[in-house]
Amino acid sequence: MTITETKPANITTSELVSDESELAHSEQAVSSGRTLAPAQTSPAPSPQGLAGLLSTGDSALIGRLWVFFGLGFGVFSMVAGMLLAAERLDADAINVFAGHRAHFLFFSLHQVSLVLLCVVPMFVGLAHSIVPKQIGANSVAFPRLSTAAFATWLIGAGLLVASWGIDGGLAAGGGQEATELSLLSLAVISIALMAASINLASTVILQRSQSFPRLTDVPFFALAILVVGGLWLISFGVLLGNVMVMWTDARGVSAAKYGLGENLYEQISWIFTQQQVFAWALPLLGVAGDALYGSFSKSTPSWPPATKPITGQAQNTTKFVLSLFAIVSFGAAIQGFFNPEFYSSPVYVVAPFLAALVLLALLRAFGLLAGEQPNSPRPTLGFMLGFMSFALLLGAVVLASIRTVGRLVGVLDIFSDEPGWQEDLDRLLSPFDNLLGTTAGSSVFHAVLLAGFLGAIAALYMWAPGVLGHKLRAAVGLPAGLLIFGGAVLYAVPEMVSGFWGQPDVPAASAAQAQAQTFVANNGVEAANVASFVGACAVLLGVALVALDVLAALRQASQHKTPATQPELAEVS
Amino acid sequence: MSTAQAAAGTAVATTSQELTSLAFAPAPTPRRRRHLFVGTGFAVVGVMMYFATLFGIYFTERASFLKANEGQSWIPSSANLQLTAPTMIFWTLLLSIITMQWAIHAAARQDRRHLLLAVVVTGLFGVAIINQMAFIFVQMELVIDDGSLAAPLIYTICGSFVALVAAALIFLTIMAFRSLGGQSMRHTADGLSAVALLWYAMVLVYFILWIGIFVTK
Repeated sequence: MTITETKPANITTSELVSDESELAHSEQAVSSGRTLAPAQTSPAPSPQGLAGLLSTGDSALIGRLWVFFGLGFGVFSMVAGMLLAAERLDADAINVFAGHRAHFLFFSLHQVSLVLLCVVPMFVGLAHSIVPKQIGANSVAFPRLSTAAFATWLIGAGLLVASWGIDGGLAAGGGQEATELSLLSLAVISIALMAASINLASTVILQRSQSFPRLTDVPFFALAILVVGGLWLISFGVLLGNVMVMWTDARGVSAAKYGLGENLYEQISWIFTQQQVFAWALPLLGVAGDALYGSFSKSTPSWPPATKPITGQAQNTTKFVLSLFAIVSFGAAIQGFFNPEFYSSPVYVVAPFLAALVLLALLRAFGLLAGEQPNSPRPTLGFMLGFMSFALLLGAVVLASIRTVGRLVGVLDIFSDEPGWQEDLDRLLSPFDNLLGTTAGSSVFHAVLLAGFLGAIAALYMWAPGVLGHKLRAAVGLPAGLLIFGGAVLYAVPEMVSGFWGQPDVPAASAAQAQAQTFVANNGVEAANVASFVGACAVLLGVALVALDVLAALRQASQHKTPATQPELAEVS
Repeated sequence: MSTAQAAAGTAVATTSQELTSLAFAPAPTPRRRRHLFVGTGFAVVGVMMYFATLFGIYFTERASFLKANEGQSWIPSSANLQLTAPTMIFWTLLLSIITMQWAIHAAARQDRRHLLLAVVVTGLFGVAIINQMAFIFVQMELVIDDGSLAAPLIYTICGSFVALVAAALIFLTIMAFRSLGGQSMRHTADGLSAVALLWYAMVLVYFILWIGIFVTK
């Protein structure tokens, strides 16, 4: 009798019969005369269309959907960002938006969508497609959870955009039901991303093949996803807690504090500011590591990724330093709404300097890694884009350090009370004193998030056949990457410069708030705002180019469907 | 083996060769690595961070209020927070730890009768906790719209705890069905351990809730 069965690629025959007690159990069943279930000879027809999509357990397909929608929301978010930059061209009047409230709503929508609807979902999607292949697994640990998380996130994303559109959002003066819907959508998105994080972190721990006996043997991107999965899980747990308090308070006839319109944005603003903002971009370090490691191989194509363990002194050091970045990225505990003194605490002031040190150490570890290789690196597109994103993140950390350096004197007071050197240092750092609350915050936000986005683009171009089913064109990828990199620099640096002139970061949500602001734009601020606008346009153009390239690749993949992930068929006689 | 049996898709193995072949017949499953337990462990981390946020906000606001309003009560004077029912919940949860461990022990020994008993008793404890929390909500007469900062926070924390108990009960029911309805309980003991992990985390959350809200007021 011949039984044909479907054997997953990573399961060896010895593993199938490794559990001897299972075999004994079968023997017992047979000897007692019980019949065994018939062997499945052909797979049952799977549902097609929407039903197939909602019930699929194919993590690669789910990953593709995350990436596709994340990219779409990226275009949406950058259009909002460009409009906001256009609004600042004339800093003293509202020209682009209908009023102060609309201006504020677009500002918050741009930030929320860039983090929760674009960068994080893109990395989640890439991880769903790439990580199982990297660790020699067929799928993620909980395939149905992937589908549920994606469907929940998509519903939450739709609700979020709709609630902002029907006069909701995180500002005073909107409809109560619409505001509650905005909070509910944030809760739904948080739960979905928590589920995805649980799934990805579990995948790296549970699904890796026997080729990776230790967790530290897995490739850089898989390790980064394990680390960031845990970090995102605890961060979204905190965000969910914040949102539920706001929602409960807003549900009443009159909110006491947390549900008040003017307090909503501030309570979740920690996800858009340092240090937490670095957590959203952390996977790019794994992409850069794999891009570097892959560039030394002359024979291995970028897809499928090599599933051999990455071991050795330099690799272990690199992975250790990469994991350290997660520690300095956790910022959920620093909630200025509840305790404004956090912004002067040593942890807050010193953290960006520590982050910069960690990134420099990582750069050194990458150098050691390169030094161990017998070949010289090939300048692949993934390598170039990966290191552009790394450079952008390093620049963002420098911007973050500039933002907090003014408070360093207060921190150093702890160690010495001699007045002489403190006065000198205070005088030296006085231009940096009042950067908190200015566009310096947006500068860090844009630099980090666009670095993360560029890292996701690097992964997409490097592993496109596995993620999209078809290669992407390098002729599009390189100019798009350069546009995003150059645009991000042009977008973020002038925002930091205008921060020195005191340009407020968060726009006024009402006419009364606008009148209370004393800021008057000078020529320098207006020139910086023009440069920021040009940068935002360049980023939008780059993102649009990538989106078009992805659409073309998906179309070609659907026309020339290849069984890229067809499981191996085995005959057992 | 007869042709008719083979055609019908059923077979009774008689030789060792066929036995070995049939051992492969069910769909191959990857080696089990306690998927549910690890996944639930991560979920518990997320849940703990969620409650840590709520408690963090609660205690920060309480401390600020008491510092600014010396001698006043953080809980609105119109509210009636009794300690009897919350303490009963605490004892119920302590007992449920024992019954949950009893369920795991029974599953490990493949003792269906004891497993059924232990799961039913644990489930009843869970239902009793929800019932007692509902009683507390009615008894304390805390008005959410009276302008106090305590009311929305207490309702968020207690409401979230009820939701956690409900989620743990659903998880327990599913895992109990898997264990009791399956051929071998040994494979599903992982699921019951996962439920137990969530359950113990729930008890820890309630312990902080009990001390922080109902005992210290």
